Amino acid sequence: MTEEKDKVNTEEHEHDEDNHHKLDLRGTFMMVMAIGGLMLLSWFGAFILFMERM
Amino acid sequence: MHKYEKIWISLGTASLAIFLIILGISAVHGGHTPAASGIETIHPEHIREDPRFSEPGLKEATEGDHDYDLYFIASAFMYEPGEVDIPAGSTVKIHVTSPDVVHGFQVVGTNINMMAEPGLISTYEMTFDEPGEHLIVCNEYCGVGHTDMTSKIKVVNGGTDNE
Amino acid sequence: MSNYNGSDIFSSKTKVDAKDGKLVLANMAWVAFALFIGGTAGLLQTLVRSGQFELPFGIGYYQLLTLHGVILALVMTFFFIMGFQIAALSRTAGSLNNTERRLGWIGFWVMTAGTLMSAAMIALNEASVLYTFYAPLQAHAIHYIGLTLVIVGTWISVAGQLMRYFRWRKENKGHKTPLLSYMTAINNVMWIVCTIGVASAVLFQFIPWSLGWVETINISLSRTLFWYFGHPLVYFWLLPAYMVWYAIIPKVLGTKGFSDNLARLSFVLFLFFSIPVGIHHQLVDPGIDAFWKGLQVVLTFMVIIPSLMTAFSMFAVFETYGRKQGATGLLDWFRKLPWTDARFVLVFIGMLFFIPGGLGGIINASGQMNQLVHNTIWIVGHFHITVGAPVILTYFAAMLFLLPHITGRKIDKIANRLGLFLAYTWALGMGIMSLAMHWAGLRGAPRRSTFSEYGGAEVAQEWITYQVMQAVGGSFLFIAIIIAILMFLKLITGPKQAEPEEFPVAMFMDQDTPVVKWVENWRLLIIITVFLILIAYTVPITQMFTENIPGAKGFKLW
Repeated sequence: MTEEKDKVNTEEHEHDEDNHHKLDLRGTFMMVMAIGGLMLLSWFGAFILFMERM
Repeated sequence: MHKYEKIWISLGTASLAIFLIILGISAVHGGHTPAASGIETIHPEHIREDPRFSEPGLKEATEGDHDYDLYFIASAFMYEPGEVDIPAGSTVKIHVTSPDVVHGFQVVGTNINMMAEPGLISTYEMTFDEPGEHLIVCNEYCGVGHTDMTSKIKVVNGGTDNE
Repeated sequence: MSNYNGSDIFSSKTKVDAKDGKLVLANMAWVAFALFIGGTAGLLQTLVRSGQFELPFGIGYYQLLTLHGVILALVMTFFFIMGFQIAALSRTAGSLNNTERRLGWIGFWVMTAGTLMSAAMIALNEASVLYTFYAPLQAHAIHYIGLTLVIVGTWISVAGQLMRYFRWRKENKGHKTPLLSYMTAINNVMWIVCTIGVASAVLFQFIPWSLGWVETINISLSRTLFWYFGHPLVYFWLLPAYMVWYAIIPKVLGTKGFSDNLARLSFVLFLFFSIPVGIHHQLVDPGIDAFWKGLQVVLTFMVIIPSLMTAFSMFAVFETYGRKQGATGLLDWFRKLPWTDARFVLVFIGMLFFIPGGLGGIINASGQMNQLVHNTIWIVGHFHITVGAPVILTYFAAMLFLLPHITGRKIDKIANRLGLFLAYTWALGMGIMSLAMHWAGLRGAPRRSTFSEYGGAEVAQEWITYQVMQAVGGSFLFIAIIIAILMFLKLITGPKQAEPEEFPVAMFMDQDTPVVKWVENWRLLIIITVFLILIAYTVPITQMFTENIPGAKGFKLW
């Protein structure tokens, strides 16, 4: 029960075997770095509040 | 793994490690271990026969490097004492226990926030520098009168009220 | 029984077996019902706390809160997870056999019976102990027995699911297991290991004590056993959402998943690190030494790492898709995403909520810093932007394609539009409510408390302002729930289609790379899991037996 669509799928995924490292992920990198920045900000914010209430 | 992913996971993990190191230093050197840590038992049905809790309230410390011991009984649905004065600048070790169910003990606006459980004594040491008033609320559900449980800590200048 | 053929999995024509579909639908019916009941309770709670409303008919605030917690955190999620995992297995590993399916049905009915027993006790005000049922508040024994049956029911259903997974492995030796099937197996194994904790507490502590066979109960032990289960519980909710994010959403976009191997690795990390961390819910409990609290804080931080990996994978899929659509700038690929497809929008909004949700979680777990927020309403805000947004919105997205897929229909325009309204209304309501909760919590407002002015204290007045905001958010959320119910109804009515809605299953960019062998070495995985648990829990639990902590008698204080 091989469908037309599946054939296309199979062919396609042979091509992008080595694509993984070549992907342009600048935007992804920027987004995760922004999350990392927020993580540092929020944690140190909470830590400063904790020390103030000490 | 993509190059960027390696960087992200490394930096992320490093940040988490830094948080842990700061927490570790603050706990070991700053004495800021989590509130109520440790195991100190008391029989919940005989709390009042214990000299420390027979008359809960502020008492001059007889040992340790704090100035006062402050004993609280958290029960359904009240705290004893219902109000307490603490001389500003003094270091106080708070001891809380419960004769019935689990209660919370949160001194609003401070880091004093811990559970009070029957059978155990929760302690936390704190220096009260700024004069002012702090509301104490129960923050663990204990029954229908849960929100009626309040007390007050008044940090006062000068006076040495230590009943 | 159809033979396995690698590419069948990814065909849009491969379906959930019709008989399995009925079992899935039965579970989903409970989800819709529980959502409505629990959501109504939630709305009423926010209204009470605003100070503008009083409950009619002698209903207690804490009775309602117990209902809200039990029916949403336990009942709704459990039925969804069972239904979704059965569908995922039937779709990717192939239909269940009669024994496996029968176990699914037995599990379903046992869960149903347990739910009804507990619900009856809550309705009779015999069990207003909240969903954490902390001793020594003592509910009616039937309540505890009912909750036990709910857990036992999941075990039976999970047994059938695991049998399907292992049967596939036997039938397809040497092949990589379908990712979704593998993920359900990880979640199920984690579930069995962690529910042993709560089951021991209920069977050996709560039931004998509530029946009067023993007079007292060991409080520390009961709390520790509860949280040994209670933290992996949140991952049990979350992992099905991650299954959708990793293995389904790329196909919704019409692209490929980022990395099959990394997805498996992150699930393995969840199995290892979601259990030996429960004491981070007891950071300010007496009866546990500071060292053991600290150790579990460190282990808790380990479980953050797979979520960091997930964040990267998701953005990578979105960016790759957007670039294929012609985006060339730094962030313009966002614009290329399918903003009119409700399946995507529901999930995406959920992901956005998970960013502050995760960041808040790091603060909560940070040892002594927990004192800032412990048992304040900040915590309630936190779990409403974790389980109450990313998880539930992803569940909605899954139901959006599952219901028509199983009933032989398609997502029509109206259903899709309802899905979009649902996503935006939920975002608005949850945004307002959770923000107010976080801020009020930092200012000291306690959780699990009815409306109170706390003797006229000034700070309590400030809290009330935030509570009014929570009621506004809660009202939007209730409207969103009505939209969700309408969406479900739309999805299961209307004309049947020759070609029903697809159950999307994504291929991965590294689809042909062989799987890392040890991630499916179950003996190894279980040994490591148990080893970590023994390290984290042996001493604290032993101390609860050896330190002669006096037992506590039961109280009914409501």
